[in-house]
This record gives sequence, structure tokens and C-alpha cells, in this order.
Amino acid sequence: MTSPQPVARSRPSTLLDSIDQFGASFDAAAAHVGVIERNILLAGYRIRVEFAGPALVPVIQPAFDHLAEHDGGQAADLSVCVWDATSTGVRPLPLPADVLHRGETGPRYHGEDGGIVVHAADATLSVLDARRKTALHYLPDANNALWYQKATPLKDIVHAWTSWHDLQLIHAAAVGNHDGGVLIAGVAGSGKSTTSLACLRGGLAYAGDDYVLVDIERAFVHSLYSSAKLEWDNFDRHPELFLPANSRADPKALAFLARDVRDRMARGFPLRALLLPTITGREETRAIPTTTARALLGLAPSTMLQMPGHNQQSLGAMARLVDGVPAFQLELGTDLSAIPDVVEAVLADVTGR
Amino acid sequence: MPVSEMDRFEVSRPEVVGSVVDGEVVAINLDTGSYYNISGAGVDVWTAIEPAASAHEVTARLAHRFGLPVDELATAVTSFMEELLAEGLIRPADAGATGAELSADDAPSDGQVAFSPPVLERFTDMEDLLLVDPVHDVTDRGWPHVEAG
Repeated sequence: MTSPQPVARSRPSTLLDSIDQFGASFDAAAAHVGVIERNILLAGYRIRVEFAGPALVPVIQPAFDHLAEHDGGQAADLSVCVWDATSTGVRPLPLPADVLHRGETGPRYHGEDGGIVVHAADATLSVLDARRKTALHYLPDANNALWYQKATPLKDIVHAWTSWHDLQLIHAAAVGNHDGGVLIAGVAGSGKSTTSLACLRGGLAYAGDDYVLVDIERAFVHSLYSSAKLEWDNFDRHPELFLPANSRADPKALAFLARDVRDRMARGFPLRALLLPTITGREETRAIPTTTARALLGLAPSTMLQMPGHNQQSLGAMARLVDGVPAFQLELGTDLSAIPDVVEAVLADVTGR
Repeated sequence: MPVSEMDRFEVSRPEVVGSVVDGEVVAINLDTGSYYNISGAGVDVWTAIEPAASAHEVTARLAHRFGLPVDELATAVTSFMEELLAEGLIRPADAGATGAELSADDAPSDGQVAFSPPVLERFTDMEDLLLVDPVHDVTDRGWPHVEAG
């Protein structure tokens, strides 16, 4: 195959022009290799993913397997077109630099204009045109997709799209039972994954490991990804739960729960409480009520600083969420098997059971 | 930078976002990755500065709210505003954009509110997240910056 080429058109000068030309690049790629369609039901919305050829299907689809819809006949609420240059021979035209914004203290290439959001990260490009209910996602080479891109595919598009649908992409794990569920929030190393994994082992349902969608007004958690990102030693302790989905050379292990423990995946549940884990070194695990401000400190910065385009409105939405949900400091003990009991006790307590 | 009595300041929007929850302020500097909890009378300082205010106006407002003499509060207010300024949470207000002067009478006061000194708690454990954001090849030629092959 020759080197991938852009579709031969003039260099775009506006954001809208860029999007049109970006779309033309996908069309050219699809014309080369054909289109494979997959449908998912996300928070009640139908998302159609159109792949130019098969190369990106194993990169993007596994994390959404638990949300797969086999009835593709209905109109989609969002169509996402994805392609890579290596397998299709088509790369996009460069976007004009002035549609992207570089933050003062770091690279944050992000542009928004009238319902169109452009975000560049890790050599990928994501574009959402919310008014036309379309999105485009480009990677240079499907074979070189990074492990965390497989864990949270299309994250930038989902993040931009949710702001049009009263949903918020939240950086938190979510587990639950018949009473509802909890969000487990915190910075890296706080014990978020330890807690969610212990709960999974203890029999609770699992709606997400790293990112979930939350309907703020209804206080309802929607599962987004079936992926789990684990420290390798943690992963190795649970051969009964997971199969490896990435290389040992990667810094963390990636597993897909929709494949490995499908019956434990939940599409969502009412949000009953927010848990903020901390590792104590003591044996006992306990949940201590905490303030609304501490809840917001635990939830908002890690969500807002990891994703571009957040603003005062996003913080206001998360403030409304924590204002209506009890929050607890979850002091994690060394006996991990006791964690799910404490989480279930919180659920029983806040729901009055 | 010292804060003089009459210079007006405002919250550094849009890079700084803040919300009052349960009597405390949570603020995030989206550019630096630092985030903050403001408590005590700092909450009153923050809400007074939201629409732009001078240290003089903020002090008058707090004096009304807490039933204390202005002289007792002036130093605490000024030094707290200097802290906010040093963290980039507030900035000098654009002279052309300032709103109506803040009236001390606007501040709620039931004579029962006890003054507690303003406290600014700073968290920096998220700053690395911004630093590890991969560098993208965006130049004045746009993105992606790939030579035609």
C-alpha cells in the first residue's frame, strides 16, 4: 500500500469547513475498504459506530460489548464514523491551527464553536457536530492503538456529546446491587480500583472502573465502558476473573468485563451514595460520613482536569449532584474481603433497608 | 502583589471555576491543575468578589455580616485576597467591566453569625495530570502535522 494520502481538497479555513473535509476523508476511506456498522445503546441513546474497514473494530468495540444492540434499524441519536490511515490509505487534511487552543501551562488542543467540538490527543483526532448528530474519530494506525485507548474508546466524543444531553462524564468507578449503586471517586492511588475490584469479587454489579455517565438531575449512573484497568499484581491475583487483553509491556493490565464476567456488568443504577476511598493501613474498613464540599473535592477536580472543555457549568452540575447524594470517606482496611460488606451496608443504610 | 484598599478584583474566569456547597467553596484552576477549598469568612470574601469588588467593599460587607468593626477585619481580608491573587484565583478587574459597587447592606446579617478567619486549602495532587497530557504536534500549519508522503 502507498503512504496514506489526504483527500485532495483545498486547505480548510474554518471549523465547519474542517469538519466537512474531515467527513470527506472518512467517506474516501470507507469507499476504499467498505463500512462495518455496530450499534450500542448508551444511557438510552442509540449510537451507531461506522467503521471504515475491520481494523478498528477490535480497538473500539470490546469496551462497548455490554451495550451492544443488534437492532440497527432504528434511527441513531449519534453516528460516529471512525477510520485509521494505515488500513484505509486515507489520512485527514490538516486542521487549521487556529481552531485548536493550546492551554497556557500545557497542551490542550481543543476547539468549540456552535455545537462543533474538536479535540486532538495522542495523535488521534475527535470531532463532534452535535447539531448534525454526527462525529468522526481518526487514528493513524489501528495496529498501534494504545492500551488505554482501547480501555476508553471515543472518550472525547462521548464527553463532548454528553453536554448536549444532560449527562456528565464522571471520573469514578461505580458498583451496586438491588438497592442502587455508589460512585467511587478519587485520584490515582486512593484505592478506587482496589475498592471496585473487591466489590466485584464480593458479588456486587459493576458499571464502570474509570469513567461512567451520570444523569445529574435523576441521580442515575449509566455504564459506559466494560473495561478495567488494573495494576499487574492486582490483575495476577484474580486469574478466575480476568483474561489479559493487552501486552505485559504496558504499564497496567486491561481486562474487559463484558467478556470475562458478563453477568456482573450492570447497565446502570440509581445513585445512592458517593464514596471517597483512602488507604489507612488498618485492618478494618469503615465508611465515615463526610461533607458535601469534600465530596465535590473528591469528584470534580479529577473529572474536570482529565477532560478538556469543562467550565463553570460542569462544576455547577457536579455540585448539584453531590448536594443530593450522601457522601462517605471510605477508610480502606487491609482485609479487602470486608470492603463489599461495608459498601452494601452503606447502600442499605442510605436506602433505609 | 499587594492588594490596595480600592483596587477591584474579580474571579479569574474562565480558567478558574468555583462553586459554593454546604457553606464552603470548591474552586479549581483548570490551567494549573490546583484546586482549593475555601472556608470560614473566606466564603464571604469569595462570593463578594464574584461580581468584582475591592478589599474596601469586601471588608465593609463582612463588617456588616459579622457585626464587627471594619478595622478588625481589614487586614484579614486584604491578606486573604493577596493569597487568592497569588494563586491566580482572582485578578484585577477590568475597569471597564466592573459592575455596580457592592453595598454592605447587601450582605445578609442576622447578628448571630460568628466570624471565623478565612482559610484557603490548596491541593496539588492533580497537577501531574496536566503535565502528562501528551504533546501534540500542533503548529501554525495545523493538525496533524504530517508531511505528504
